[in-house]
Amino acid sequence: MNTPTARPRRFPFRRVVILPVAALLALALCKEPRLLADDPAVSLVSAVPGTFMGFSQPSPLTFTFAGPVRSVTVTGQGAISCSGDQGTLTGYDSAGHAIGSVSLHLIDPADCSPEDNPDNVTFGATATLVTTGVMAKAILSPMSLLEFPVFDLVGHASQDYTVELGVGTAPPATLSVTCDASVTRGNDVKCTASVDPRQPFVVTERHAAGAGYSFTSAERIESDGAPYEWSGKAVLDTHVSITVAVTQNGAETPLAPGTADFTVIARTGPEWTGLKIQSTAPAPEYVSGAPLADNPFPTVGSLLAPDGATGKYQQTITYRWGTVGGGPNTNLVYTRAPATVEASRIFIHAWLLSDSRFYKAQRGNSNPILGQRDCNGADIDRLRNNVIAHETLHYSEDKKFFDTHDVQAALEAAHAPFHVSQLGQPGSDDALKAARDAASDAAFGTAWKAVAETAVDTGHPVDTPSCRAAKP
Amino acid sequence: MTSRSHSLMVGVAATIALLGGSTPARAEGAGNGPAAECRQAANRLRAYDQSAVNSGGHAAQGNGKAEERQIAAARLLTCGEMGGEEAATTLSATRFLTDPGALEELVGPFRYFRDAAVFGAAMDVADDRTASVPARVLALRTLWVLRSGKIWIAYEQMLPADEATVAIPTGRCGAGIRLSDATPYWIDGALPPADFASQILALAERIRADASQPLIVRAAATCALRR
Repeated sequence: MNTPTARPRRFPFRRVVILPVAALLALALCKEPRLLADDPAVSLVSAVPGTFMGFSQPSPLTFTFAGPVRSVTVTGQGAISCSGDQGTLTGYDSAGHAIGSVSLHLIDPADCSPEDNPDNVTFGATATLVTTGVMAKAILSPMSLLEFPVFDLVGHASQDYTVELGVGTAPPATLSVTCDASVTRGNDVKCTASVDPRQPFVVTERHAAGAGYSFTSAERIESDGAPYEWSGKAVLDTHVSITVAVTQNGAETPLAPGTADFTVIARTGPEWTGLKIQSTAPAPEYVSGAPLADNPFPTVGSLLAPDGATGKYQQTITYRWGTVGGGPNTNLVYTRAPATVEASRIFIHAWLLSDSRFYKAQRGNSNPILGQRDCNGADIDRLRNNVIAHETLHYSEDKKFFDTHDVQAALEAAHAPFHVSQLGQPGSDDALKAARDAASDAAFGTAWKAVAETAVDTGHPVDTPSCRAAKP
Repeated sequence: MTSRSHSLMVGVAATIALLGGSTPARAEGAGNGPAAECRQAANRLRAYDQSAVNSGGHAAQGNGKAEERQIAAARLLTCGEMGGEEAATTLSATRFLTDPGALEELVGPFRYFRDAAVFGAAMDVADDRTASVPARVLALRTLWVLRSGKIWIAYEQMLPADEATVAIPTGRCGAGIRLSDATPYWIDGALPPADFASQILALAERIRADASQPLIVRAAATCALRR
């Protein structure tokens, strides 16, 4: 940085006090800004309202720069009190954010009260502000004492500032990524990428990974230097990695990726535990259509029926799923709110009732002499009771499962991948259902099916009477 | 058994194996079974359905007529091509009825009858903007069941889910329901086109994506798109 070539001289205060204010102001306003620059790449664009400050012009001075200015020195010349603050120089980046500040100090404190003239007045104050980021402007606030006693007179402050600019040394840019340390599932988690020193950058890649989960986005997001925030619903413990490149004059310089982690806390409370099946078995509902086959006995002459044609047990859970559309857990389905269970139902085919035409058509002799006998009402009664017993066993195993497993808590943590960009596109509905099924199956459905469905069907099949059924 | 004979699908086979029973007698087709019984069932069905359509869906109740009709419909499922044509006639003739309960009674029994005529009629009604919304919904249900064998899907499950919007017309589609013995099941009639499943998907997708269609129909279409 260049330095002034001539040693500053003390400015006799008497000249200050005797100069008319108007003359001083005119002097200041007529002067071109005085600039010393160590690099042609930087320049002082303007000084508003000028370079003079003091009793007659107490407003702050705003210096606007061009180029990569990282160093500013202001040096005052005039007369000021040695007491009080001499003003503050603050630098701002192109977005208007303050990036550095320094107080002015007296250039020659020994000049304040020499033995031959103890007037507590000196000629000037100075300061050098160095920032890591580029300054677009700097503002100099006024000295605190614009008017001050000098022996038995009154002195008025006056400073005409020389501005020296420098490009300084650009420190290496570094990327730091932070995330909320822990977040309750379903709440927003925020991860922040910051470049230091502050400067324009572009996010070039975001990656998040957790157990069975991975998301990568190469979408480019530009920043004027403000920290980039990546936020969205939190679902599972996640490791986050963000890559950026700093941008200057159209060129991009990639930085080392920044990483951070966050932990997801399960939601707790009475609503998030203890999903239960009703305590008493549901009464059979007799139907002849959905959810059963209309004709339960397609094999003519036999009471053999396809699985579930004569009876079904139905359990209904109302899930409340959410989908994460942004943030570091993008593309996940999860349980947004507690699930509820509806009343269980047992459906029995109405043809098994004694007043049905099918039932009445079974008029066989219960004591055949030879061969397979024809079915009679007692056979249908037995089949009906067996079907009811079978479906009730599904219910009791279902209830037992829910009594011994905290399904609600398992659902609280349930999640599965789903690409939200599919929503509204062909096939998305099926894909979303598949994701939800995968989440609930992993939480409890697969285990439930083994116990409440498969084990009952294989261990306790419906005992079907062996007789020849008549057509209704 | 002729090429048009029906066959019993996985459910029957599984049950038979499960129970250790002998091979069941196969249901008669129109070609080699008691065709008279099929004709009688068809006559009964036509008479009942005509009365139902003429009365806006509220056919003679009581005195066993509805049960007779149900048995006739069940019988027609075993009548091959002839049964399929009767079923298709019912699907087409009831397309302007608006009572879901009455429609369920009339067309529900044919939802798992994988037959060329049933397939064609269901496609036609599902795509018919002049048909009633419930008739179109049930036609889409039939198409879904023909593809999937999910006979247990009720009319209510074809309606829009709480989260449904014009942009994303999601249907309930049986979400959250776990049924025991939920084995896919259908009865074959005259074979539908080899690409019938693709045709169903194409139609359902077209309806789903068409915002000018009623939301209820579009939601039902999303179900028909499901596995």
